[in-house]
Amino acid sequence: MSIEQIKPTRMALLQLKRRIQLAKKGHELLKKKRDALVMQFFNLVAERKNLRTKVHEGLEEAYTSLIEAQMQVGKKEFENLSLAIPPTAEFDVRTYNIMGVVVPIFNLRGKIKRPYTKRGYSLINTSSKVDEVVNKFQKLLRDMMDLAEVEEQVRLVAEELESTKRRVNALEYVLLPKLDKTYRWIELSLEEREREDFFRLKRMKNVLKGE
Amino acid sequence: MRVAVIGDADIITGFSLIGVKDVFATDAKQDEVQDAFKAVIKDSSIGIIVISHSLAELIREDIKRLNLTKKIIPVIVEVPDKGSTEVFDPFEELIKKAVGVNI
Repeated sequence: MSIEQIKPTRMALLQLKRRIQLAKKGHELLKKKRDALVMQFFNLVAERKNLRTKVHEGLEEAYTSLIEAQMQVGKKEFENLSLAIPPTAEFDVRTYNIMGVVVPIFNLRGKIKRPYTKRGYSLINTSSKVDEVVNKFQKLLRDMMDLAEVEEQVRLVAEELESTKRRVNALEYVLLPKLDKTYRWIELSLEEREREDFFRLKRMKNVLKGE
Repeated sequence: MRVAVIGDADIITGFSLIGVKDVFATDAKQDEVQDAFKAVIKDSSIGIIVISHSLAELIREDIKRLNLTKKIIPVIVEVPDKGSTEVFDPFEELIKKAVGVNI
């Protein structure tokens, strides 16, 4: 609503007052939402950082063991081995609500970590290095799933945070100043009209008296 | 839901050894990675995509497009390549944009 569309009347003034009140309330609420989101966001970012380091370290370790094991067993043999492994545990996705942001949560249906007898390769024919690799990758996968969960949460909360911030700023720096300005303009116009009326009355009185 | 892995032959071997079946071994060629990625996001039972950083760089546009959709899954996790010591953080920019400062 721009100034041109508003007539400087008492009715418009009252309407505008209500609008300003509403906008202020909305602004207050959005600000609270933004602050809560920021707090959540910082927690998530810290958590993510820990998990990232864990995954990076785990990955490096896993790669090293893998190369060592490949040297012992042979690359081709290794690939053949991996073909016979039964599929790993699947997971379910649930959702969770952080300040109106719907984020995923992963729930493992079984266990990624398996006992030595259920890993799908022969313990007799393979080296213990292979066991080591499997151990490390199992741990890695678990960490990666946690990381995936937290990173997605960070991403979604960041998006929401951005749009909330934009809304808060739009209200604070664009809409509210404009409404205030319009309000003052109407007030001034009304006062001006009152003075005009008053002057007109005085003038009429004088004119009548002078006759 | 299952985990899918897109990466080089080594990481693939490691993950198939623990029973991850949806693995895609690709060289660093854009169309190959793109094909693998498309196949993965088509499969609605895949919830997490693990992808090597260097391969993710090749299909950055596709990843961005996927993140723009409001769907929660699949979630993409970028991991460092084998032997790369370069520290990278795919979230740095995002965090900077969201809070205005680098933390």
